[in-house]
Amino acid sequence: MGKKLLMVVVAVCFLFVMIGSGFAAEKKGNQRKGKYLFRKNCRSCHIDGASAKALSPNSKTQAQWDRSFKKYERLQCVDEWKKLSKKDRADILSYLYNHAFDSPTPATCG
Amino acid sequence: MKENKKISRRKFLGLSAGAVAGLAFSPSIPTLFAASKKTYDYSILPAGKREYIASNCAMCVNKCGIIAEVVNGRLHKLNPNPEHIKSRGMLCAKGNAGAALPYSPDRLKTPLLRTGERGEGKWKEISWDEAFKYIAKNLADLKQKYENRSTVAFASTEGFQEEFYYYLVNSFGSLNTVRHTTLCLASNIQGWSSVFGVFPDADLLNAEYVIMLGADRAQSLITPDSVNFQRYKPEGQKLIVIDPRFTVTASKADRWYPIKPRTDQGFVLAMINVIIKEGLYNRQFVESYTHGFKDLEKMVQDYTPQWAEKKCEIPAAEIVKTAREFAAHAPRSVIYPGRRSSFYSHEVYVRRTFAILAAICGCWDTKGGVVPRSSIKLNTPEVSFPFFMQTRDRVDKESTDLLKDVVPSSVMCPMIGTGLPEDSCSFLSERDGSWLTFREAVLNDTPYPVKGFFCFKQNPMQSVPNTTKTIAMLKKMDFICVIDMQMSDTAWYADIVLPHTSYLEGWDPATGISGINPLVEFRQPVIKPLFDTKTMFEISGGIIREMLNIPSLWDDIEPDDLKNFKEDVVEGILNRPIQEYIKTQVSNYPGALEKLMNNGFFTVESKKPTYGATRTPGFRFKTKTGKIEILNERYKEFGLFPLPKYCEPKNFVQKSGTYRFLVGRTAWNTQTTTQNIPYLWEIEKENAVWINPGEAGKLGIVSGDYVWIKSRVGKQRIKALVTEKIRPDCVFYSNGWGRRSPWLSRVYKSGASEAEIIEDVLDSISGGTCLHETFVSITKA
Repeated sequence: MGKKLLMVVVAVCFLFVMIGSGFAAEKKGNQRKGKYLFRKNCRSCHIDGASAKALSPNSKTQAQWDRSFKKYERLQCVDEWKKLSKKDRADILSYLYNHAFDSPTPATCG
Repeated sequence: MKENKKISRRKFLGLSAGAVAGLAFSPSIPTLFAASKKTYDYSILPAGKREYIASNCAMCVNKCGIIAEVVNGRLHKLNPNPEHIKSRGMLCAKGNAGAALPYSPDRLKTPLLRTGERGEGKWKEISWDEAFKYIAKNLADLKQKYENRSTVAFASTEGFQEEFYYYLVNSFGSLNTVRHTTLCLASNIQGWSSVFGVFPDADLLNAEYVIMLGADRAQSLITPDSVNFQRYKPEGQKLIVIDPRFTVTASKADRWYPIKPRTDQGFVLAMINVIIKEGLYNRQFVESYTHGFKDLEKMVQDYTPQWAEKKCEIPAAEIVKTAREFAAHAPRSVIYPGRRSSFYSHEVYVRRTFAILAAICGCWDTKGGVVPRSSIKLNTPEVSFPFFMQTRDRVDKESTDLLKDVVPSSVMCPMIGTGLPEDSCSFLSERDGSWLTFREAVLNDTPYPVKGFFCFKQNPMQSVPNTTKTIAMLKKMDFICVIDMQMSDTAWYADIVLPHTSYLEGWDPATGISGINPLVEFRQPVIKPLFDTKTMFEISGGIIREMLNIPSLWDDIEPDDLKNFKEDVVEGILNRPIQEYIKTQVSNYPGALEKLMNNGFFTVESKKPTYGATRTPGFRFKTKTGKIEILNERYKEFGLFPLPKYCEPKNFVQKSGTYRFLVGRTAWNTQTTTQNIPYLWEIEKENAVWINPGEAGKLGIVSGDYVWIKSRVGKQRIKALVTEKIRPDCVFYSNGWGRRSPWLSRVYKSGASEAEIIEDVLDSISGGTCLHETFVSITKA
């Protein structure tokens, strides 16, 4: 009985570790703030009907978002980027990265 | 340098809301909205002003096309819309019974405020103004007391008005939303998406060979599938049904295999074994589009048909035959994704295995196979809500250390070898959350207290397993508000109940319905509202306007955000007629509004079914490698089994005298919402438990006897139906009975509730519930 109980306890502990590790694959910034900032600062241009290509998190893969943020100084809208703090940029990246085309965020039922 | 054409926030809204603001004063809008009510003269029918108005059903999730026949302002009948591309001229019993819904005496007719104890049933009628003020004040009090907006949780289920419920959620700023998905198909979405990146549809209209495991499409209706697989199935199409019950779908099948519950994955793994061993898979497709085939080939070597026979209790020769037939008809072979998959704790792997069978046979994105859905993009206004400082992360994301209560050892698979708990990691859809982990978190006040609860159209008292815990959860709340059409079992325990307008009395926004044939639907009133009810659009508007009168509700945001919110959300959308919103939504498609008004739906030429867009060189799937992932790289990264290993609890033996409890639907009821509708109640007045004759004989039970059905979490009294249609090791009854709300007058305390006896067991990958992991005993009552 004791051995059985130990197995369950070990199993449950293992379970929590794995859950933790699952989420560890996400970017750690504040993605809620990132979504707010993305809509406020980026979507005004990056939307259908405006001058820049419409963008949403789903527009790029995680690797592509990472690259874009590393090399934002090459982008036309670099001046807009410079208005954002480092933390703001990290928050926006975490939103885009965690919801990217190849992110594990599942679809839902509408 | 290219001109930096920027659309300001207000101008952006102008593309949507602003554009229609001008139109609001144009005479064309009321004319257009009125013109759709065609009047015909059918001399054979009784005299009277007879109108036929197109709209869409809301009696279940399917949203089939209806033509309402209204005589002198009263709804006479609902007819199917023969032009509707999804329901294809079909309207089921529930759809027909919708005509009785607005006139049901049990409808909620005015806002109600609780005056006695919770659940005591003492209410007083109040005005909408009083209701909105009361709710706004309670929201302010909760925010003040707990300094965390996520202390108020919001439950809801699918429906066209749900997007306006989220206006309320986002205006208050809580992240704790919980939807129906983890009670239904979360594991199905996760399993298929883990292979193809998306959850596909089955092309039953063109398939030559169809396998349905655990899906009763003849009873649990899904359009167009339920229509296609019976009425429009191509000549010669073979249907194989694998289910512990002889369902109505099984009665339409060429072969039925009464599989041992919880072993579907074994059947399909053995099929894969045969197909690979005999070289029957689609080599070219596998090489071009998939990742991990060699690993699969190695892994399935042990999963022989003889091995599966012992697990599934289906002869090996039958598994071999099914595998060969499936491969022979490929790519026009379907292993049916189905819908609800909230069955077992390893369900994600079951669904992954189905998807992998489709993948190795190349039955993907091709006529007669499984096909990615397409959709029609609407110009729905994208609004921004303020950023609230006093908002903590979701409770079900932060509370994983509570899972021991909902992942019992009885469903855990061995640590070394196969299955859970190596496979334990939740992938939650943000809005959906996970019902069971959410409830555990609330019960334990961990990681923080959740003290307010809003519920729109959901009925967790009846739909979430283990009602005792749901009651305990509700008891912890300082405030409960339920918005529904009838006094649901959850509403019965609320502090305030708001009556929602029926789908036949109000406007619903345009909504895209994705699928092989995507379309856009909406709803228009076919009769005038009968009672003092409101739609969620109006309810959200009413509460938010009252919230704006309470400064403390807006003290943790930037002042600019509040100004913008008032202009964009309140003035720009909520203070305007919903028709303007609809007009904006469809403004990209000339003539779309007329089509909606006349037919209830529209589609676009470019979205006619095409196949093979994803079967082109270089196409990137929504997976980590960009390929169809037989071996899932993301799972590997998260510490999950990357391959579909067979999952089963170690040393599991079903105790003698116990039965695995199965639950499902009938064709005449939707979850817990329709049992009290007059016409449907005539079909079935209480549910009955299916028991195999051999077992019934041992227990001395005959059909019509009442029995007690008992699990570890509850017991229910129910009538017995002794039938050969179920295996001896399980019992079944349909959902939505044994009601606790006395205001559901026809069905109050009739039959048995499944939520009262099903144990709360979690599928810890998708966050889903496992409704078939409960064992019960039965005694004569």
